[in-house]
This record gives sequence, C-alpha cells and structure tokens, in this order.
Amino acid sequence: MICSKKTPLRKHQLHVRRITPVDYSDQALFNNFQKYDLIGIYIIGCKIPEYCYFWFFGKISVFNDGIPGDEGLNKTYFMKIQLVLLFIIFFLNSQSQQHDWPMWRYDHHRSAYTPEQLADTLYLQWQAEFDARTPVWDDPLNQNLMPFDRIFEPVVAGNRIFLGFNDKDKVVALDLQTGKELWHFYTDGPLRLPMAVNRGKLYFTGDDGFCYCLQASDGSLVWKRMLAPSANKLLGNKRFISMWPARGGIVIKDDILYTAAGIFPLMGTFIYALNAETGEIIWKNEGTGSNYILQPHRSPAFADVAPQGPFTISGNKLLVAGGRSVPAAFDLRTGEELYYQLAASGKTGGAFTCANDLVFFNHHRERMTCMYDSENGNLLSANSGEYPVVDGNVVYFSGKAITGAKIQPGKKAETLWKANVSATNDLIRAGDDLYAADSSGITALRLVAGSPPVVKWRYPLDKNVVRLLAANGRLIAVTGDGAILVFGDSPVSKPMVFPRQKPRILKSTAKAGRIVRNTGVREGYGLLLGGDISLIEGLLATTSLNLIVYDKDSARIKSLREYFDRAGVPAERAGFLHFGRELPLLPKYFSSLTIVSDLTCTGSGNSSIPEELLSAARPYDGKIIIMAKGKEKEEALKRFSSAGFEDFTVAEGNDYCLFARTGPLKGSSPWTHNYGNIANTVKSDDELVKAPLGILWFGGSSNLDVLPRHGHGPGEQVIDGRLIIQGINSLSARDVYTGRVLWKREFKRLMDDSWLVYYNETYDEENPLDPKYNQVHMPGANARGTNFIATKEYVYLIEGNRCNLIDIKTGETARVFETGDDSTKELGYIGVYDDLLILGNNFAEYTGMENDSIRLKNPLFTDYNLTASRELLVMDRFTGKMLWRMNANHGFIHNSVIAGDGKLFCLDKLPQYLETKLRRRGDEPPVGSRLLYLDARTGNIIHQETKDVFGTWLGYSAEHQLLLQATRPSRDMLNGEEGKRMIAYDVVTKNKIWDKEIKYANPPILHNDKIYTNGEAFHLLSGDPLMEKDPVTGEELKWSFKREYGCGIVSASEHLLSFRSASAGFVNLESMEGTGSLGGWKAGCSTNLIAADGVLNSPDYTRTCQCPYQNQTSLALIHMPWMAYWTNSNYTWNGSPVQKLGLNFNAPGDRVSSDNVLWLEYPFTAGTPPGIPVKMDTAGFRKFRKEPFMISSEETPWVSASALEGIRSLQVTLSKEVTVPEAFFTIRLYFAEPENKKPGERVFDIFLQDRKVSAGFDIAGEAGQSGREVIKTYHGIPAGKTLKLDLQPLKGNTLICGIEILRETPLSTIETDK
Amino acid sequence: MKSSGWKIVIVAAWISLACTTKVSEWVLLNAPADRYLLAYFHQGALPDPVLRQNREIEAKIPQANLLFKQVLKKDIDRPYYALYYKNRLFARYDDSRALAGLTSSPMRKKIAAELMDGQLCVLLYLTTGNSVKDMKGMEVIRKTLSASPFGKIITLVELDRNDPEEQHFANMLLNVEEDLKTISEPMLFGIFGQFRVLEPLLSKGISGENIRLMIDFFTADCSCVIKDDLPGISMLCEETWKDPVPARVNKILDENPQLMHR
Repeated sequence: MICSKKTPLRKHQLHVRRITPVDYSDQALFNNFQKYDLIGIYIIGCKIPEYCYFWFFGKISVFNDGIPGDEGLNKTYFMKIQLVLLFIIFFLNSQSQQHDWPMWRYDHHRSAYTPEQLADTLYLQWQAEFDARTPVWDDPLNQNLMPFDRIFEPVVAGNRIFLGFNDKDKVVALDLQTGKELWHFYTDGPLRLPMAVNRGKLYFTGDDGFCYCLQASDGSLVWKRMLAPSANKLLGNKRFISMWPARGGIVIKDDILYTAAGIFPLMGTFIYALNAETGEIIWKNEGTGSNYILQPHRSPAFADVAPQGPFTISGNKLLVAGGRSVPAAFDLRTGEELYYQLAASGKTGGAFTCANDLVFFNHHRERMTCMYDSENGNLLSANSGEYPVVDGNVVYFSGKAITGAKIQPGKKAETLWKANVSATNDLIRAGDDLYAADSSGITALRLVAGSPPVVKWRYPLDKNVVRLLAANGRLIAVTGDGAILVFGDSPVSKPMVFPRQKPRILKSTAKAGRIVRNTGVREGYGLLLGGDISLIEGLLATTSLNLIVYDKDSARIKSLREYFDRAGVPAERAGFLHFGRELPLLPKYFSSLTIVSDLTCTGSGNSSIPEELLSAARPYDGKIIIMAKGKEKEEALKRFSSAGFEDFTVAEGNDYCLFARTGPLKGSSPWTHNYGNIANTVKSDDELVKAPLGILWFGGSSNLDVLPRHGHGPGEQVIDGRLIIQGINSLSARDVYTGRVLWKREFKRLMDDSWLVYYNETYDEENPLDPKYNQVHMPGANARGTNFIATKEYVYLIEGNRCNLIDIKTGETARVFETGDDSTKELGYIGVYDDLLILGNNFAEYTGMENDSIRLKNPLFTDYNLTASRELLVMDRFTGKMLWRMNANHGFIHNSVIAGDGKLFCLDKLPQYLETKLRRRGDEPPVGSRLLYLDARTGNIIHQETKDVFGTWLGYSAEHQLLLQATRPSRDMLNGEEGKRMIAYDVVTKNKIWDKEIKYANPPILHNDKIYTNGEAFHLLSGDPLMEKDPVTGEELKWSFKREYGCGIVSASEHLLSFRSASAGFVNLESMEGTGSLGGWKAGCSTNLIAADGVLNSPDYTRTCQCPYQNQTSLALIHMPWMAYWTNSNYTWNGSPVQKLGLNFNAPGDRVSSDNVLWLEYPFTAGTPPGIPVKMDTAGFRKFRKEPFMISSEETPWVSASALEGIRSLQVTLSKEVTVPEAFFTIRLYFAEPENKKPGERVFDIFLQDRKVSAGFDIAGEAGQSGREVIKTYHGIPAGKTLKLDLQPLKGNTLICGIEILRETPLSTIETDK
Repeated sequence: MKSSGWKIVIVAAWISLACTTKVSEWVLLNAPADRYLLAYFHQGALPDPVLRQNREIEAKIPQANLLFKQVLKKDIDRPYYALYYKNRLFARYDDSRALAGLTSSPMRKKIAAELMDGQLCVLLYLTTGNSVKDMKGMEVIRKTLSASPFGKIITLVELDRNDPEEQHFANMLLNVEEDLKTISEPMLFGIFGQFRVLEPLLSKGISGENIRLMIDFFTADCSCVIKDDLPGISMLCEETWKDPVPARVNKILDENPQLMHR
C-alpha cells in the first residue's frame, strides 16, 4: 500500500480490513510486501490527508510519499501520532460505519460482504428506470455462463452511484441521495463489464479495447490506456468494436488494477497489471493464449484462457475469468500463468467467481457453483451451493433457502445452518445482516451466532430484484428490467421516480432521402465520414442501417453523442467515433453504404484511406458515395479509381460520385449442396481463404436457429454473400460479411421431416441449462444428404412431398413444385445442376434386409432406407416442367447423385452394409446394381457399369473428367460405410483408370489433381499416396496430417483444409506444417467450417453443446497476413542429415516459413516430440513470449516473439548416421529484445562450433529498440553430427529467439560476422 | 517442463500411437469388452436360499464382463434368470444350475490365452455336425491360412455347435446376428481384441477371398471409424486382459511390403 501526497484522499472514511497474521516488524519483509499487501488497520486521514498511518502489531509507522517511515522516530512524536489517531477514530465514530461498494460484489474476493451496517428499517428513497439490458451473448446458455452485462452492475463511491451502459456506450454517475444524474461520460464502445472505484477514481473497460480512469467526482478523464495491441476494428456482437475487446472485468488490490483485452486465443490475449494511479503497466502477459493445452474432450489445441468476466483475487493468485470456463490462475506479482484446468473441469465453468484466500467458487449452471482449491485449481466439491457470500472461511449460499457454511481447514465446507428465506436472485451481507432478493422482494436477516439468522425486515416488490448493494447508508436494488431502487433509513413521503427515457421520433431529411435514392441501400452497416447531423437523423429515420460515424471534430462527436443519446437512439444504430490522424484498420467487406461527406477524412495524396474504404465495402451490393462537386469530385474519382480495385463500377451525379461493388470478390467461390457443389468435390474453389486467418466478425447470430449438433443436420451453404442454415423448423439467411440475420422463415412440415433424421427425442429444447441437454449422435445428413440447396435465385427446400422455391433475397416463398405423382409421400434427394432441379421421389425400401443383425446396432445407424430414393425426377428449376424421370432397381443412393459436364451420375444399388453381409454369406448382391452415366437433360443412359459396383459415394472432377467411386466413411455414419476401396473412371472413355484398396476416412475430397481424406492424400490420376519432401531431411515422406477430436468432416478450399480438431482447425496446403488451431471456439459437427465468398464461415452449429470452449458463437474469418498462427507438425525426424531446420525458442508450436523451413518449437511441447536431440546449458534461465503482432519484423515476427534467456550452450544433433562427413551450414540467429532493455544492458559474445562469430552483440543496440527483430547470418559454418552454439554474457544475460540451420550447397568459405 | 506439459506430451504421444497401430492391437489394448447383464427377475421378497444362491453367482463373476442385478417384476409367472447384451435378450434360464459355465469354458480360456499371447486373431469354425459341409469349409480355411503370411499368428479352433461343455459360448456366437440360430451352415467367426467376435462368414461365404478380407481388417491401420463403431460383439469371458502381447503385424508387413494396404 503506497500513499502519496498527490493522492487525494476521501474524507471521513474508516476502512477496516482483517489483520494479516504476519509479523511485519521486519523492515525488509515489509518492504517486500508494501506494494501488494494491505496491512493491519489503516486510516485514510481526514485532517492530515497527505499521510497514511499504518498500524501493525502495536507499532505505527508514518509514510510520506510512499517511503517507509524512519524506524528511529522519537517516542514523543510517536505518541503524538497515536493521540491524533485516537482523536480521528473518535471524531469519525458517528459516521464510521459508512463504506463504499467499490467493485462488483464489493471487493477483490468478490465476497459480496461489506462491513456497512444499514438501518434496521429501510425506506425507498428514489427510483431510476432505464431500458432493460440486452446482454452481449444471444443464447440462454451463454447468458447463464457469462451474465456480466445482463443487468446493471453498479458500484458506489461516496455519494455517487455509477452505472455502465452497454447500449449507450457511456458511464453515468447518479447522486446516491437524490438519484439525479451528476455527469456522464461516453466511450468508443459498449461497456459490458462491472466497473471499479479506487481512491476517488472510477475504472472500467470497454469493447473498444480501452481501460479508462475517470475522476469519480466529475467524470473527467484521468487516463486512458489501450489494452488492445492496436486500434483495429471488427464487428463483434453486432457492434463496431476493437478486434481485442477488453472484457477483463477490473479487479483492484493494493492500488494495482488487473484487466485484459482479447477474447479469442487465436487473435492473442493481453492480460495486464496496471498502476491504478497512472495507468502504467506493471506487468503484461501476452502469448499465453497460444499455449497448446487440452481442450474439453481432453484433446489439445493452441487455445488457452480467453479473458471474459470479472477477475477475482484469491491469495496471491489472479483468477482470470475464462468466460464459459473455469478461471485460469496467474501469479499476481509476475503475471505468469499458474494453471488453467480447462479440460479437467469437464462440463462446468463460467464467468462468476468469488473467493477467499484459499478457495474459490466458480459457476456451474443456473446459480450453482463448484468449489476449487485456489492453490492448484483442483475441484474440492461439485454443486457446493448457489452464488455465495464469502466472509473469510464463513460462506452464505444463496438459493431457495440460505445456507451458512464454514470452510474447514481441510478445505471442506461444513453446513452450519439453513434459513428458509428465499435468496434466489441475490444475497449479500452488510454488517451483521444478510440481504436476500427474489422475485417477490427484499428480505433482511440478522445474523445470530451459531443459529440461523432471523428476519428483521421485508420489502415486498412487484419488480424482480436481481442485484443488491449496500453502501454509505443505502441499500441499492437493481431489477431485471433496468430499474435502480435506492433505500435509506428515513421515510420519504413520495420517493422520486426518474422514468424511462422515451425515444424521440426521428425525422427524415432531404439529404438522406437523396442518398438512399441514389444508392438504393436501406439496410446493413453504414459508415459515414463526416458527422452531418441532419444526414444521420434522416438515415436513421428512413433506413434500418446501423451507422458508424467518424468525424474529425471531437466536440462535434460529443454533441452528436449527446443529441442522439437524448433522442433515445441506441449506439448500435449510431456510433460516433473521433477521426484522429488516420482511420483504424476497418473490418473488410462490412459496409453496405459508405458516405463520405467530409472529403478531408479520406486523407490526401498517397493516403491509403480510399483503399481502406474500398476494402470495407460489402461485396455484391456495397456502395460508396462521395459527396463532392467540381474539382473535388474529380480528385476523389481519381484517387478512389486508382486504388487498384477492379470490382467496382463508378457512377456520377451533380454533387456526388458513386462506387458500387456489385459482384463477388475476385477469387472467391460459393459452397452449395452438402459437399460444396453438385459434383461432390467437398471443396470450394475459393482462393482467398488462406492462412494466416483472423476474425472478421463474431456474435450476433446464435445457434438458436440451427439444428442440434449431433444430429448432423445439413451443412450451411454459402452463395452471393448469404449463408443459408437450417433450424429445427426453419431456414435462415445470414450475411457472410457481418453475421447479420437477413431473414428467417419457418416451415410447417420441416420439423416432422427432420424428426428421427436430423434430431430425435434426446434433444431437449426446453432445458438448455441442464447438463443433460444433449442430442445423441445420428448419421443425419451424412447418410440422408441435405434437404435444401441454395442458388443465386432461390433456396430449394424439400418439405414433405413438395419443393419450395424461396427467394434467397427475401425469404419469401416464390413458388412450390410438386411431382404430379399422387404416390409421392416424401421427397428424399435434392440437387441443382445448371437450370435443372433433381429430386429423389420417395425413399427407397430395402425390404427384407432389416430383419437381421443390424438390429444389434444402434438403430439410428442402420436406417438405410433414408439413404436412397426410389425414383429420380428432373425438372426445369425455374418453371417446374418435368423433363424426365427414372425408377431405381434398388435405390438411387443420395450421396452418389452428382452431375458434371452435362451428365448425371448415380449409384443404383444396395447400401454397402447389406452388400457386405450378403458376401459374407456367400451370396451375390441381387442383380440390377449399377453405376449410371445419364444425359442430365434427357435422362438417356449414356453408359452403365454393372461390375465392381460398390460403395455409396461418387465425386466428379470436371478438370480431369474423372469419376471417383467410393464410400463415405466418417464418424457418425451408417454401419458398413468403411473406406476400403476407390475406383476412378475416365468419363470420356468410360474406362477404369485405377481401382485400389485404400483405407480412408472422410468423404474423398477432390482437390485439383489430389484426393484428400482425413489425414492422408492421394494422387487423383493414379490413386498413389501423395508424397512430399521431408521438410528437414529432404527425403521422400508420405503426406499426412493429424487431426484431434472432432466429429465433423474435413472440407477444403484452394489453399486450406478445414475441420474441427479439438477447437476449430486447419491444414495449410501451401506448406507441410501440420495441423493448425483456430483457438477459441469449437467448430460444429456438420460440415461447418466452410471457405466460401472469401470468408471461412463458422456459424455456430454446436447447439446442445455445453462444453466450456472459450466461446460458443458464430463467426467468420478472413486471410490476415499479419496474424500469428501455430501448428502441430507431428514431425518425427528419421535421423538422416538435416538439410534445413529452425528451432523457435519458447514458441507455442510449429510453423513453416516462407522459404519453406520447418520451425519447431523448443522446448518441444506441442504434440509428439520430433526426436531431434538438443542439449542446452543455461544460467539464469527465463522464458519470454509476446504476441508476434507486437514484434517489428518483415517476415518472421512469430520467431522473434518468443525467447529463452540464459542459454550458455546449445547443441543440436544434425545426423544420427554413423559416419557423417562434415558439411558447411548457413546459420541464422534470431533476436528481439522482449524487455525494455536499453543498448548496453544486454551484451554477449556468440560462438558457433567454438569459434567466436560475433563479439559484444547487443540486441537493443543493434535493433535500436526493444521488440524489433535482428537476424544474424553466418555462412560456411562447418558441422558434422552436431552443431554447437555458445552465448557468453558480457553484460546482463544472454537471450535468443531462434536458430535456423541451412545446409549449404555448394560448400562455401567460412565467414564470420565482423 | 511443468507436469501439465508432460501430461500433454504423453497423451499426445499415446493418441498418436493409437492412430498408427493396427486394428487388432488397438482393440486389444484399448477397447474393453462390452458388459453383459445377467438379471434375476422375481415377483417379491426373496427367500434366503435364493439370496444365498444369487450372492454366490455374484461372487463368481467379478472377473467377467458381466453385471448381475435382481429385478422385481410382478407380471411374471415364476422367477428366472435372463442374459442380455445391449438390451437384447440372449438367453433365459429357469434354474441357476443352467448358469454353470456361463462366464468361462475350456474353449474360451484357450482363445483368450491365444489373444493374450501375441496372436493376431483366433478363427473359430463352428461346425454343424454335417461332416460333408463341415469338411468343405475347413479345407478352404486351412488352405487360405497356410497361404497367408499371417497364418502363423492366426489360431484356428473348431467348435461343435452342440458341444454341451460350450453351450453358453455357442449360444453367444449364434447371437452375433439375429438369424444365425436358424441357419444350419458352418460358420467362421473372427475373434480379436478382448474377445470381440465379428459377424461370421458362412456357407459359401467361407471363401478364400472373404477370409483374406477378414485378415485384412485385423491388420489394417486403426481408424477413427473403427474406434467409434467397433464391429462385432463381445463375448462373456473371465480374462482380465492385463498386459497382453499384441501380434507383431508390422514385422510381417515389413517382410511383405506387398501386403501394405495401398
């Protein structure tokens, strides 16, 4: 605890803390604790504010300016001080029971216990009403796990109560006595986490990525620190926010503030300890988010804790709320992560945590908690009780009854008593009383030693009180519908009521009308450069656009915020941001309408702003209108036209020019049908989606309109910027580029059609918070196929015996096609090829085949009838005119009905299992099995194969005119669909090209001239395994990748395989670097990570999943070249001579560089150790890791972002062969200073093979600054079996980030760095 | 390295191993046998002799993959025992004496010992008593095994479906598929892992090609599909499956690269 003359101290406040049982009489010990431990009793003086008095164990020291007092203080002075102290205590006696409520649940333990003793009877003083909060997350489970902004979470200091608004992006201070607003302060994004007060200052974080410090007295800004690493923006939870929203709910202890930014490990997480007074960084933890740890399902991925929720302190540990998971513990003093029991904790966790110094309670479901050992995070007891009040070792659990319990020395809670008073909404302790809230009102109970408490006061309410606070003589109640009720000790004849603000009706304006007419844009996100108030009001009045307004004049921004706030316009509709020297990096593709009314906002000369605005325009319908005349217009036209974008058209009016991005992104491609297209390639041709990937948007559309995950419903389909996805009884369309729900449509028969196909009775829609909420695994669309197809014009949906044509733009039914056949009961198959609609009429009936062993298995996995149709119908997809129809001999297997090059291909046969069974019994399959080549327009049989007709799957490569016959093996597929054989046919000659026994899983992906399966690859034209060069030795190696847990299939785009692998995962097809993680959420079980329209689409298809993955949300990713990623290469060295290799010190995982060097993390932590012997001698060993984003480097920030300090010697084995001729190597050493070392503070010599190659190397000196990469290259280093690097410190300790070893050919002469 | 780090490495290594092992080995090491349920249905309070008798039954089965339960069921005429596998009735016994040998028999001991001792699988030939039919199938099996590079690590055993000492075992085998009891043909069962039995080849299906396909299955790389949906059913057996020796399939594959599944 440091006090300073500069610290203004509040008057008349006695703050009593429990005495820490430590002997602080030892000065050195005290010095060690002074910053962190609150000691004994301290009094913040009212008469002598510049001093703090510390009283520990009978001895008082006086501190001034934070410097411990002189031990030699004379006795007289000492006594005087004691007298003054006693006087102060006496003076304050009458008001000594008044306390602030400075943090969420009172203190850093989140104890909900204040010493404040309220009056025995309380009276309503005033009431303020606001709109009910709309929480950040959309679905009931997320809202239960992360309830931090479901209601107002006020804090109180002195005579002020502070409220944070997630819809108005502001903080409001109200007078605690009168309820009148004292001041308000606007931020650049939603405030979602509870605030904190310390020493007269108010602290809070926002989705804008900042931490703010205001004077509590008047709301003036003291300091503001960007916690996010940069000002980059994205759309998050429907708002225009930082790429790294700050959702680390601030906790303060000993004037140190703890918080964080970033909620997706993939993007990087940043956890801070800040000096509350100044905002200076005490420590910062970055890079932890990329740790390779076990996720739920005990399967690893690069995804550690994602800070989201109020932080808590237990003993010397900072408990970082993990959003949907248990918290992670960090060392309070150093910021080092101590534990994160993500996988071990099973299906539990949540943002709520409270603690004492030994244990913590964390959310389970509803309001239930589990108790954990703070030392190691181990579970002590499950279902301990509902959200408790914590008073040291005494705990009061809320719930239908209140339970008093004591935590015994063995960390077991023993129940002391139970009081039948309902505290189902909230429970706090204030002084000697408990205050309980439920839907019927508030009850106060007086605690009685050793017995249940006694009710002393009751206040019935028809409002649902969900939060209670006690502070400074007042009881504050927060209701679920947005009201604040304040009670005091005196009766008030008529409590003041501040009613809810009514929104004003906005007026349309001519200016806005003209723009709407000229652009035709009325919905989506709009970006305005220039804060023209009449234009903004008009747009808000006449469109449904959500506007983001930038203006250069900060005063105008303030007045716009005031104006529209008073008008009742939520910040989601209109957000106002100050345009500083430049625009932040805007999210790509998000803006449907960009209006430039202030041309100066587009910069001048070579400014990149036009390019950025063009990048931000939405494909397919994005417009940019520049309001300018004459020369200004000409200039703007020139600048925007020369930005290098080819996909815009330009139009001009008198006072404007209009850029329109009407088409798709160049290089993008759609994804239709269940497997990408009618050819079943399981691949999109999208070239834009590639590693590294970063998040474009998240949130805004939940899993509520999606089928339950384990039923394996049809995968989403993406075309023309729309993503179509199916719910239990609905279809919805979402904007690929913003996540905005475009339309949702319900269908009467769809629920019946999907019953026992895509979900069954195990789906319990009513109880999403019940841990049994689930859906058993079913083959779903894996076996049956999809029931809808998205096209540019319509979504074709089969519903019973009809096919609906739904306008893809509006969701309205345009037409309904019927088969014209009275016997049609249900349509089974659907596909679209050019202008043809292909339907399967009635499901097949494999009669006589069911009555056997298949009953032994799960019947859900043996319903073969759903897999095929009895008849194929082909009609004109626009008119419904029937073109031809064909009956099956056995059944047209849905997964085999494909088309390409004017032909329709299909298998008419038995399911694979039944054929296998017949063969086991020595019977031939019944005659009539065939592989058909049909003329797609006429149905004429072009060719049919009757031999070697096997499997259930066909795929067609148009590029090679090759037809692949196979099965469709994957998890959760019908019995008998093992992948054991593939046949490739030349469609032109009708000849078999190859026929191989190949073991595989996954529907075969046709990727240009390759076939990818789950973990392997083959040449399309030969069926041979795909070979690659061993990245280290250069020898031939079978191409493979390893996939961790996940039940969806692998799908492909031009540069990527995407799939679930514990979290979301991918394989970069551009290099052989293994499996990468997209850490921070799990992909769904259907075909779910789809690269299409330039975006990697990941709609939340995890309905019924309760696993505590960091986030459960819809999102989309795009290529972000500057983003970091890590892979698990699973590389195993065979001992042959190393040709090239990189060791990336303290990196979380592997990666391949642009010059094709495989960089392995060292020490080896992720995946299987590669078997490359490395010996290391160290002194003063430490590890560093930063986010690569923070490193200045052209190519390899991900190498220089992490480092090992203290390496003295490092020896790498280069060959395991018996005799190894010496060769020459180029060695590159990578450095970047991770600390704030100045030139000359870290200097060392570098030796390679015992030869000094660099003398007095100084990283900071050479780089010019910390965080900048320096690469030292040494050619011609001779080495045989081993390579040895020595670092000898001259000043400070040694440090190195990476070593790259490249065998030279031809040999060169030895050079050393001069 | 922190202990959690080691755990990750070990788990990852283990998973990695599992993915490159052969089906026979993976199932032997990682797929415990499914449990049967032996239920005693009774109408009311049990007399002491029955309680004693049931306690004895319960005491005898801890080694086996069997769960014993007493179930009160009022709508029955008389008490009985019933054997279930995954909710499917395999057999019903009116008398506890009929349970003798339920969990163990000489043939099962022999098969379990072979599986524990490094054999790829045991092929069990269930004969009909019709010597002509039985001989024909046996010839095909012998010929195929003698020609197979894996022949030495495959044990062939023969069992008469009417052998009184093996009646429980035979009954379980004939329950692998629902209609097997009605088929009077010789059958060849592939047994692997912890006494897992595949659906049989029968009659003309006992062919060299089908036997080779069965062997292929045991020697193939284990895939996720197999792990998720292991074919066949488990047999009742008293083996503990502690420290089994997996078959050395890779050695044979190395010596016979043409057998690789490509």
